[in-house]
Amino acid sequence: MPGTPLTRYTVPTPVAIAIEPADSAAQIALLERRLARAEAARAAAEDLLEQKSRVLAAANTELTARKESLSTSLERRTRQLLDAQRVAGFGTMLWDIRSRQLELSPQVQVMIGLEPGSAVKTYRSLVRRLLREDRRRMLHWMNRELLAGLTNGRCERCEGRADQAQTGSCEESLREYRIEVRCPNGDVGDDVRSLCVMAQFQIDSQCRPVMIFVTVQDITRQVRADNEAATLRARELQRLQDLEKLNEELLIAREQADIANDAKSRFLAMMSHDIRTPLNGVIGMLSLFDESTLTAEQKRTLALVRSSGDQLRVLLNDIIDLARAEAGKLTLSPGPTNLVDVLTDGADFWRHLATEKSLSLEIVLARDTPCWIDADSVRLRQLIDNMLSNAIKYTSEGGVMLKTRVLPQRRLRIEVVDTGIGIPAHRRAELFTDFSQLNLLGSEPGGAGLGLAICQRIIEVMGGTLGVDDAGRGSCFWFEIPVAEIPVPKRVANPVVRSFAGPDGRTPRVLVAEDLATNRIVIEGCLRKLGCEVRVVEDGQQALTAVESGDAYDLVLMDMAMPVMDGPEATRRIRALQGALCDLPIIALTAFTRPEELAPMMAAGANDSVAKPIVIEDLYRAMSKALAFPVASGNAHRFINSSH
Amino acid sequence: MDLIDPELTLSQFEALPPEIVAPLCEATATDLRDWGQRLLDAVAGDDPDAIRRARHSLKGLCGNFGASAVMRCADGDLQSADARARFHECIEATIATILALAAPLIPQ
Repeated sequence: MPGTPLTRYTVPTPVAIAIEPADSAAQIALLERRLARAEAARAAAEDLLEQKSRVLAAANTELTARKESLSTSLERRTRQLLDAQRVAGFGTMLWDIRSRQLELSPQVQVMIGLEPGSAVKTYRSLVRRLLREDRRRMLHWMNRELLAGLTNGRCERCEGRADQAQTGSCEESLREYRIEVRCPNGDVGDDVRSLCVMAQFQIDSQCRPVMIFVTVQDITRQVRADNEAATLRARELQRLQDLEKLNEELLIAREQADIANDAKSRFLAMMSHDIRTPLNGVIGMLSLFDESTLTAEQKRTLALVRSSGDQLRVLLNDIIDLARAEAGKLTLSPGPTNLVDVLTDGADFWRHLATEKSLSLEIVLARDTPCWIDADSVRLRQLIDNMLSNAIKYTSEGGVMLKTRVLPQRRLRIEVVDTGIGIPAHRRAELFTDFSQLNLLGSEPGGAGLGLAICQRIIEVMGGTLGVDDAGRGSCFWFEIPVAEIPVPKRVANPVVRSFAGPDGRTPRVLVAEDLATNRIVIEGCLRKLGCEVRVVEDGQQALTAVESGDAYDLVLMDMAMPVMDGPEATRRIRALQGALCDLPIIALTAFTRPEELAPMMAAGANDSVAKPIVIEDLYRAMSKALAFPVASGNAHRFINSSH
Repeated sequence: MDLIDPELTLSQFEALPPEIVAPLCEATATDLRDWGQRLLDAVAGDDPDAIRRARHSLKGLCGNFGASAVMRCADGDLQSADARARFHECIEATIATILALAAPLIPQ
């Protein structure tokens, strides 16, 4: 085995033996025997030695082979470890506390900018490899943190009790200390390399710290990534702050715009109200003209003035609605609403215009159309009116159809289909903007272009949608709204019956003008229940005659549509009478409920109106209001409402 | 869709003195037939004013009883013989229903 000398055993040289002459022969023989035995023993010993030598040589060979194998394995593993450290940017150090000597792995040497194998033997020489600004911190960490747990070379926690150390229960020996430091990075210009240093004590059997095992990890990329992330975060934060600032500025600007818009809306609403009031007076006065005395030219002029006045009133109403919507004050007043009545009323109102243009106007209600719903009947009617008037306006032949369809999830679709000029798909979006007039070929100009914009806002408040589709020939305007069908509203079975009685016990005398026998009976019955004296006539002419006859009536209930002379005309003539009679309270009775529909009666001088079908409580309320108002002198008395 | 609104009709009758329930029923039957016929005549004569007037009166009448079926027929197309027949039937059925509801309220 090369390099490994075997131990040789040498048999000692036989000692010299002294022989006496007298018994030399015997002695010689004895000596020879002894010699022979000694020779035999020596030979045996030599054999044994030879055997042992062979065994030892074999053992030596085996051990040498094992050692070489282990050495090779160790070298390989060391190389692997070093390779792993290099790949991972990871290194180790051992610091002998007693000798203050350092042992650095090659990777650590590379990290701190040394050639592998360079001599950095002490901790201070290591610290000098760091950036100047990190050196003090590193020394502080070493002296105050790392060694603070040790007193006189012993673990402060367990005070060197061996039993704890041997069982490995000393926490101080297991604790890890960590610091991040930087050193110049020779590879990348003036860049720095960031290192994460972690240390752990190694203690002896007396729990005395003997070594510090240190791992050093190159965290340059991580730190760089962290720095970049921090930079990005800072930028993002700055951007966020900028956005917040911008948002605040926008909010302020929006508040200012809202304030300005509110002011504009208030101004518009006030102006519109202020204009509407005298306009109503003008329109009312126009209705007082006795057309029978006018020439044909004057009649045409009067018709033009009336038409212009009506258009202006519609425009003002639209502006008020729009201003209300923009101010967020467009609210709904839902309540029990007879949907069928709303639809038929709307159709009735526009039928005459359709007839004038020789258009048909049909209502097609789906079989499952709910009758009673919880909705704002006034706004619903406004939608129907707007869509029907548009359809009639833009249709020159054919007809208009008002349809209903019940959709899933309690939604109702109402459609107005016409055979008019239709609307190109690319221009439909313009329909719903304020003051939008499409001016399509063949359409008649008119309106301010506010109607659909207002409709859209109303429908939005209702939680629905408004749209327009191609109807093949013409257009189909539709809206879908959520509807809650309700049972037929329960009426008070036994309403509180009140009656009128004057201070002298006299009951009011009421004149009723109504052409329908059924309604006459109903109204007369209600009035008797209210404790009134009643006279019933069948038309406006009879009512005028009755008032002129000198019978002292306290109130007139006047139907609007009657043969011979209608309600507005009879009212105008009563107001034109001389003396106290012209101030007689007149309450209009009508199935019409919209202000526009009631306008002729109110313009003629009616004090109030009661909707048909007559509900006794409504009649009582309107009469209370009218009768409490002092009538003309000489016939003036207040009626006191009493219950019984 | 119901011919009339029974609750409204009953409340209408109950709100009135009992002695006028019978005259009211008679007047209603007469008015409904009369104005129904006037509407048909106006449609036949293509007289828009008369049509509007008749529809308005029928609406006023029907409103007392929630007679929406009659109104629905009146608002529809009444040109064909079938439609006119259906309109007549609807009016008669409505009158019968009103009378049936009123009967217990009429004093013997």
